[in-house]
Amino acid sequence: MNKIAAIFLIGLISAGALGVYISNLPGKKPFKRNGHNDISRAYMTKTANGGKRNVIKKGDRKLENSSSNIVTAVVLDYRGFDTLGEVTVLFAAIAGIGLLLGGSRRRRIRPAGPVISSMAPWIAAFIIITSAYIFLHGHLSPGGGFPGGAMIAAGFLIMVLGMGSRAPKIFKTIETFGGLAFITVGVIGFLKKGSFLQNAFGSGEVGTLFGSIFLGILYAIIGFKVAAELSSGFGEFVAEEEGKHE
Amino acid sequence: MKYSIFLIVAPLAAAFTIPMLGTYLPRLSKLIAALMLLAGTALSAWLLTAYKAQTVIVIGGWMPPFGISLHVDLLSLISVTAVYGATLMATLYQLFDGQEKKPYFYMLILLLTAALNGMILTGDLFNLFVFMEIAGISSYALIASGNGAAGVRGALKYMIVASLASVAYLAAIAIIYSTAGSLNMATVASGMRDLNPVVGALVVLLILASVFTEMEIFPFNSWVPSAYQGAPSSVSALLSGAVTVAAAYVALRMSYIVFGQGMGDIIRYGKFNVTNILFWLGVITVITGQAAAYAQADAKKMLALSSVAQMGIILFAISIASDLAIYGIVFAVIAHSLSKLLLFMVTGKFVSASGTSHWAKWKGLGRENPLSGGLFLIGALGILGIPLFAGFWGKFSIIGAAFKAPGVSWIGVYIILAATVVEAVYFFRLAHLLFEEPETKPVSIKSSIWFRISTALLAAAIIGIGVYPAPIDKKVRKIPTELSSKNTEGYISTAYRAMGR
Amino acid sequence: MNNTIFILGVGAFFLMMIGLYGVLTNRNVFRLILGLGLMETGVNLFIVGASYWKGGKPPILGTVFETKAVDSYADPVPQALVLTSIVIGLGVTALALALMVRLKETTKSIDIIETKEEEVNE
Repeated sequence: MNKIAAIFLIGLISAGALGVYISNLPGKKPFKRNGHNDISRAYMTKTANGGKRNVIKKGDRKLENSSSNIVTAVVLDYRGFDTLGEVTVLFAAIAGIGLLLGGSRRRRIRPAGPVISSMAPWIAAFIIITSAYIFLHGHLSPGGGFPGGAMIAAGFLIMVLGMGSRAPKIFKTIETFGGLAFITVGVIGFLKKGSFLQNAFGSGEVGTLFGSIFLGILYAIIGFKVAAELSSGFGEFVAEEEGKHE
Repeated sequence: MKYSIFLIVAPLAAAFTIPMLGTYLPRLSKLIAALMLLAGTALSAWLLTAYKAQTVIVIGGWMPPFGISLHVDLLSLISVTAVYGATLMATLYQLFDGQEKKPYFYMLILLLTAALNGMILTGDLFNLFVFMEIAGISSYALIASGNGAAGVRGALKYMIVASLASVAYLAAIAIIYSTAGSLNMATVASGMRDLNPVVGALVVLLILASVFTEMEIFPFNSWVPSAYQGAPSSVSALLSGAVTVAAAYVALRMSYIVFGQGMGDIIRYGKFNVTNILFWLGVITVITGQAAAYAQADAKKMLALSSVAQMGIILFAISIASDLAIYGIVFAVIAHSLSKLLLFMVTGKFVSASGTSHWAKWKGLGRENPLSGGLFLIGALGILGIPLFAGFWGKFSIIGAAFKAPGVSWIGVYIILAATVVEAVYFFRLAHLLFEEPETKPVSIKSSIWFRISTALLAAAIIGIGVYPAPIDKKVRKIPTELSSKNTEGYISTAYRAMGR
Repeated sequence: MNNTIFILGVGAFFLMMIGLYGVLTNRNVFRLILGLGLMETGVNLFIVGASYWKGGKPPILGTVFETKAVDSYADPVPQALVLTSIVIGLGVTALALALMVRLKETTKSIDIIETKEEEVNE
């Protein structure tokens, strides 16, 4: 499409957006509410399954959900099915990369100089330990399985670039067991409580590390799975690029 | 009914086993994929026979609208069964008659199946987006897995258009959440009418644009010809036989339930009349699709554009929204799915035997291989809607509904009839060429026993539905009542009962 | 209408439009992927903007324990949606890059529009 047509189209969309904005000025503001709607309020007071509460105190037990990070509670518990889908999106993308690029042309990467290659495992160790903290702490503070998994993959990336390691086959096994474990947790909920992905592990004290076993398990599974997926996906790209010189 | 969740989760679980099995036991992974699809077909058929009333299936133990829920009704179960059946056929074709593929290929087919079922069953707008993305990503990879440059290019075109569509969908979700305060379809439906009409119209446009991208409606269908042409034939069959079923279902649910609150009303936001837009888009899609298909020299592109035109007819029927039209839509979608599966499977055989997809070079192929030629003819007749073939009941009811409908719907009737004539011309042109006396002896086609069984089943289904539609008819007649808003068994009232309000 | 929300909305909108312009005017696949990335970022900003209000605190119990906490938190739902949509965007971009590599391998160019007809054999 030529530039004039593109600018015309964008101008049209902008005019439309401006129109919507202006039409909303006097009455209801479109992008702004003062206060919460019923749903987010229920998430924050943990009363989605009924009840009334305004304050959650430190040390409260046996609430419907015991994560103190409410975003995590929404992501993993209230909307846990979305997260299963999200893990699957990443899984499908990496599988697609494997289908398109993975071939027989794999070759070992040349390791970097001695300074980098001797330091790489140290740096990787620090990164991986920090990431374990991040995904275990996801229900208490910002963080969780996705950033944690991405950090593990970054540690692996350093090992690849520094020492010429390559994605071992074990990553595929981790992907499989991670995915199956997520579904198993879901099916346990289905068998014990009657609905898929329901919390069958109880909930303890709000704001403690072991208060929320359900979310902890899910985030650990997601962490390992995301790490294995990103690492093997990256491995496919690197192997491919090296293979080009053959 | 509570086992409906496994329609989505079981193929996911099967797909998760494949990275490991594919590394160590590649043959077992293919077996698992085929068995899973067979089991899924059986499960969905069982649920369909056991179906009594609409059910809301809660996930995670959170009542709607707080959690995500699945909404099972008769139409969604029929669609899920169609998706499973189509995927099973396409997979068997690829396993026994296509080129050798990696285990990942079958894994992506499983993911695509799970995602399409999720799109059909889910009752949450954001969850629908997630499943649309899974379906999208798996289909890009599947399309790119064959035919070299053509496949990759088709996948890229599809990806770019679909990514634009998903941006539009996400923007609509942000607006919906900040105005209606919920993402559950039933809750949003009851909040939509209270919106400022301008915002309402914007949301409707954004969401319909992204749904129409999957449904191949003009002007969002520029990716269709190259994606269908570049994909391996089994994947073209999947796109046409399964993805369009799910997309048509989503379009129907969006326009009747989320935006329209039950069928039969004219969907209107201020001066903005959604029904009219659906009508004209449908008509334009039919015209452009058939005209472009007539001009195609490539058989796979021609079939792709014929799919586009069929989807246009279905959209036109959605805009009519009477009982008879819904009845017609269900028949038309099923007939299209069956016939296109058959056509793409046979075309795949022609392409791999002759080494080209230009139909002009297929002279005499059908005379040499009467089985394949005959199957092609049955598929073509099924699409066209000749009496005694499956497509007839769909088109017949839609045309009848359009004549009874008020307004300008009758224009659509003449356009559909004229388009069908064009369609008949290009299908018979190709069929005639297949049975012509060739100058040189054409190649003979080798086919496995599975190919013969599955195509025979498809052909039998096309003729069976055409001659004796009564068994399906009994189920389909209940669908319009379920979709109606006035009915206590309708979608929104069922959802609200599940919420305990 | 307060300023921050206005800036968020306008910024998100312009990011999307810059991305759209890039997608519409380029034929180079890499630039197309960059344009799509910009659009995704824009729409993510737009969703996060839906959760903002003036003085809203991060929705983590413990930052404001035992007060009239609930009304001072920012809305958690759009933040959760954005997490999901970021990961989805990552998946799409990764696959798109893989497709681009394949295109370069098979045709020696990364132009989205074909210059000669491409053969189909299955």
